[in-house]
Amino acid sequence: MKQLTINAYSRETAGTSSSKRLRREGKIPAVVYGKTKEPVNLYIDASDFRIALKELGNNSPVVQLKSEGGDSKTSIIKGVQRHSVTDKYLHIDFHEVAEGELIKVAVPVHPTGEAFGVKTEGGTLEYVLQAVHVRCSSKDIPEFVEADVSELKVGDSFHVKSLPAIDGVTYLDHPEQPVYSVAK
Amino acid sequence: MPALTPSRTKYRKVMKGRMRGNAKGGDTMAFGDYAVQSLERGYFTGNQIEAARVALTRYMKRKGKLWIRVFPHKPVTKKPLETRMGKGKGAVDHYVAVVKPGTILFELAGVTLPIAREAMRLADTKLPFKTRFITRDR
Repeated sequence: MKQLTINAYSRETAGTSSSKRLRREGKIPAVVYGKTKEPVNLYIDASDFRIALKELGNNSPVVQLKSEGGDSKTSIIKGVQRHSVTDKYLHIDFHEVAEGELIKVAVPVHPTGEAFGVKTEGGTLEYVLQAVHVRCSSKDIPEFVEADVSELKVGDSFHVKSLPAIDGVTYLDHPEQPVYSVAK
Repeated sequence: MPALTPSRTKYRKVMKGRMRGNAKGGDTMAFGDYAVQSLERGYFTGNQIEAARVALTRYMKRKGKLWIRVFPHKPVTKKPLETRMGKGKGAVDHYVAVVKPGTILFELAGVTLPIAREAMRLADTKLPFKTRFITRDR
């Protein structure tokens, strides 16, 4: 799994006006927190973050957050706030993960194979869930979970309980929760 | 053509209100792979929603899945023609959805990108404001 390093700088000020000033300078206000860590206000470079997200795609939220002191800590991108019209990043939440700490993340589900109902019965594969919630350590986060939908007929559903078991990963969604369904 | 209207309302008539600012909710894609997002503000009437829906489904030939993310909850009143001013507020004429910049109007899934793009373009011609086409991996 790819892990990128993002440079973070601490900031003394907080609030609307200082955050707006940072955004005007091409920086994004951010915060990092963790189970054994007090929340710390930071800022990161907007272009750095954009490049990092492009590299990561939707597959992994894990990054190495490098502070001014020089040490980098494993963190996950917990939340990204964007402007509804301009799509500019407004604020980022990082969650610092301790060694061996179990975290809850959403992992995208990818269908494999063509459903029987789509190929021969003229149905459409509809997804109910874009991603499933899993609990695992930061180094065990899968890039995606594959769902073999090839045997689905029209009216059938693929449930969370049918997803492949992955070592160190626990699915948190209800086992009977549908992920895909084939509709006429 | 039956327009979209609420089945029942708490109050028959409401005040105009203002529509300042950008969308606070309904501004992210939630269901489909493609969406049309409003870039302007205005009233989206039930008739316009229905016209856009017909344009979309006709082009997609009833394939794929469509989500309409707005609903006309707000009643708009109108006085009869050639009526003197006064004598109270007019009767409810139609219902509108209040759309602010950033609101997602329609979402689509189960069709290819070129079909979705063209279908959304056709729907866009029925809309009273500027929009943009967005995909899930933006």
